[in-house]
Amino acid sequence: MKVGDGKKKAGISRRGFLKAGALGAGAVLAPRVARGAGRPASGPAEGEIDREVASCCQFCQVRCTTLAQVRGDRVVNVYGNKGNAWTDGKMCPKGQALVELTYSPHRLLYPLLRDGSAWRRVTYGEALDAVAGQILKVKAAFPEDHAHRVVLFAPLWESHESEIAAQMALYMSGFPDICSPGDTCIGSSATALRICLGSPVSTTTVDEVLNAETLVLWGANIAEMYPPYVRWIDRAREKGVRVVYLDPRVTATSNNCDEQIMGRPGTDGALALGLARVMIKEDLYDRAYVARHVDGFTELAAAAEGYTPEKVAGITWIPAERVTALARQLAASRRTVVWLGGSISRYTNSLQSVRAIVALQALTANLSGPGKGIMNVQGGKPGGVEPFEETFRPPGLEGALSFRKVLFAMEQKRVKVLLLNSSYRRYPDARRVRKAIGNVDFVVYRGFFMDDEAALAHLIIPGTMPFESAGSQYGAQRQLVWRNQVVPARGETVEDWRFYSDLGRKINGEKFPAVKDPEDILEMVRRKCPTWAGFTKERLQKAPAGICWPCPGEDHPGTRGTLYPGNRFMTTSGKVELRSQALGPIEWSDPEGAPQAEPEKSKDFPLIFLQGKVVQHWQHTYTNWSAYMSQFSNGNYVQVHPDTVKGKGLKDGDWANLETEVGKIRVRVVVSETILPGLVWTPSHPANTSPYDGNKGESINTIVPSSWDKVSAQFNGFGCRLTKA
Amino acid sequence: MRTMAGRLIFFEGKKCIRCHSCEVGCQLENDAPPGVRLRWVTSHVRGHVPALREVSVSTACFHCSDPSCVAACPAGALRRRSDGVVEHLRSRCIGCGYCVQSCPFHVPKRSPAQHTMRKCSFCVQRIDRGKEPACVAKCPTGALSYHPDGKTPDAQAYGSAEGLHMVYALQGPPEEYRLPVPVPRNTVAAGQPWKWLGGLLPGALVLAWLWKRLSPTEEGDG
Repeated sequence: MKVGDGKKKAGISRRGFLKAGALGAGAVLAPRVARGAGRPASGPAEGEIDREVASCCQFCQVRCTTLAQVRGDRVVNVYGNKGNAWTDGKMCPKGQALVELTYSPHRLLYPLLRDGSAWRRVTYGEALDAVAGQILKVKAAFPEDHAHRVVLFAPLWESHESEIAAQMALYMSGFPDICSPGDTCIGSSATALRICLGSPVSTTTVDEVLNAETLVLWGANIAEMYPPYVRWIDRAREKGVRVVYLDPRVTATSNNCDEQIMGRPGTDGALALGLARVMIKEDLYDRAYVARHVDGFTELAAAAEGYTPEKVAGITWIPAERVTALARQLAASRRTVVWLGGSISRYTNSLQSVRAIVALQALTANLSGPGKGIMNVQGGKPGGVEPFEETFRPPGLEGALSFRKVLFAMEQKRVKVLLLNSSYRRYPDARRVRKAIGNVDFVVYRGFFMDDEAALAHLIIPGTMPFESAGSQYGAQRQLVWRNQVVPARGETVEDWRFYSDLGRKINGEKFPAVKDPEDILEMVRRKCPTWAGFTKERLQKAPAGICWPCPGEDHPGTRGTLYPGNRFMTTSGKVELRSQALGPIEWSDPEGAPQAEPEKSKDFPLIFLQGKVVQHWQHTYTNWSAYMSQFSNGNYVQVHPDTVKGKGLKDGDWANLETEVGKIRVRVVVSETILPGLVWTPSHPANTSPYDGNKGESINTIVPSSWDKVSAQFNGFGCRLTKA
Repeated sequence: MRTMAGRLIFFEGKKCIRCHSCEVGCQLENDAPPGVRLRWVTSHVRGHVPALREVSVSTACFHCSDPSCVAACPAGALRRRSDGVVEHLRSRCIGCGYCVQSCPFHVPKRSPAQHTMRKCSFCVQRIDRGKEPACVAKCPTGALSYHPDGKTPDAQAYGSAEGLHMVYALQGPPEEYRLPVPVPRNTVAAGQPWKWLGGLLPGALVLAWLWKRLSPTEEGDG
């Protein structure tokens, strides 16, 4: 007690001193040395922080920039970087999991070569020789016909430079097949935006929601997907912006809107055409704008003609009067931003739906200018890198095969080497994909843990965690940020850019540029691509909020807000092109396998399947290896309305079988009125191989039937059933 | 005489998206392994369509103005600072659990893995350096905010009138969130006496001593 007495008195003066010191030091960014001997002896946290280093989260495209706190050569904690105006220095739980994941006892730290049924540790050099040897063997065995025999499963999420390095390595070696992550993500909406407007990215940045009159969250559950952006919605509402939220579930985002409209999943395109029809019939659209800037209005009007509010009500389950009211409301709003959720891109009718929404924004002149635009989740990848690609892509190189053709080629045993840089479980009917990969002679896995992918590999070359590598990454605001290496890489893990550069050089010799760090690659891109000219590493390092593409010069501040000033779109005609050969006629049809579309099938599978992410998890990979995240996970479960389980003998907490035409999994039933009747929602993250109970579960895509539009796969909207287990 | 209003964490329910970022941030900052939660978010559904909403609350130590845990602690491991923070000194904690029994909010929890009790100490290691507590720093939506001046943004908030240092603006009655009503103010009588009786005497001594030492700055805090 006496000690306490003394401590208290000393503590006050010490605290006062420290407070002043911390304020002074707070103005200086990383790396800085703070926190010395003055730390209160009784504080709950252990030990001291030696320095803070600017980094960024590698998961979603909010791309939170962070300050990693380091003790010795170990990251002990991470905080948001307060210099980042997009996030206000906030972050979500996922990014925090990276601290634990970096030091996970389950992490793979050394290259492993399959040796019969066991693994043999090899050096990185030996592993590299093995991969290069296999690829050269393929080239020698199939001198005329090797192009589609070596395949890479992207993404290369580690950095933009890694993406470039992998492209260089594969293309220069004569292999065009890099299976894009867009195929299982927002490929369809990005493609529709590119075809209609000229660029696949969001047409504006999130700060513009403050200048809008109406913000439509079209299936965009921002609270679950992009938590730090909820503040932008809050701020917008404080300014009087009306927020309309379209989602068949009541979510945390429902607390941040003025009005929620709950409709049938996969009917977005029908709704958009119905809204367009009301605007056209009631002459509420901007005739002058349409005449000057829109190509294909006649076709749009013809296609929308049949979508009367009554018909739309039948399709979407949204009452006809609400459809009409929404159309009038959107027409009356002088500035509207539409924020597309990721799910809209995961139906077989996605291309049509997104085009119809573009059309809607075109009718009301809401595509360009302050407080106007269309934003896409995960849609920030800057374009304009073609001039650099031309420097290394051999002119005669064949086009890449679609994933479905690659899958078929694997089933026919034509693929010899697979560079598995990511999960195969992201594809629908994942069991079939797994079986096909089993036919490949040599599978290289660039993973982190002994998961389902590792089980298929012949060679594992483990990757670095974000704190262990440097490079640039892009975010949803088309911004590029720089990530510093915070601590040395553990074990013999290597970055993607290093592995693919090393591989490229092994196969192509001096022809492949010497790359010693990611900055070399950034420089190569920047010098060739006019819209990247201003992205120097030095500038990016000084910009905690990143710099927005396009950035055509070193003194250019980057481009915030609208991508198409003055309504000059990047299409060939310079107009909004609703008419498109690639997309075909403007129309709408039910998602493939929807119970409403196939009455015959619907007898067996009457419920609509929906899956979605939860805020604690990044897809179905890394975060499943976090014990902290497992605290909030509940394995495989389904969320259903009380009416959905009525008469089925199922109640809250029961076990049930969730079945589709390709498989079934065991799920826990959660009964809640937060979802429309007739739907079944399930989280998409669980993985069998997770060491932590909460995260453990069957990979959801094993029961998703394989259905595709021209670009990407369907993950929602098809029929399923729920039976007592 | 009120010389210091005491620091305050304010929770604004309508902004909470139950992402649990505050919980993880707290655990990382305070050396709490998975499963040991010094802060916890709970959610429930209220109302019916179309007014149906999922509502949440992020709870941690309330930092009472007259904390029963401090009184119950036989080891001198809990103390109330002049800024209102009820600090837990882990190095002194013997893990006896008397505080666990005495707290009317069921806040302190035993952590067998760490052989001590664990509870929120307001991130004193951060606030004493002029920073906000970890939970506030990590909250992506601003549902948690830190008010070092002790001024509550909402006088109606749960715990505000009673001088708690963690106050809650909720979207429904506190009972719905399993918060005790009325708000406990002086709480020594809570818990099961025979379990904490052994701690009463030393606890009372600590309290008496603290009271004597600190009363000029503590009085009227509530």
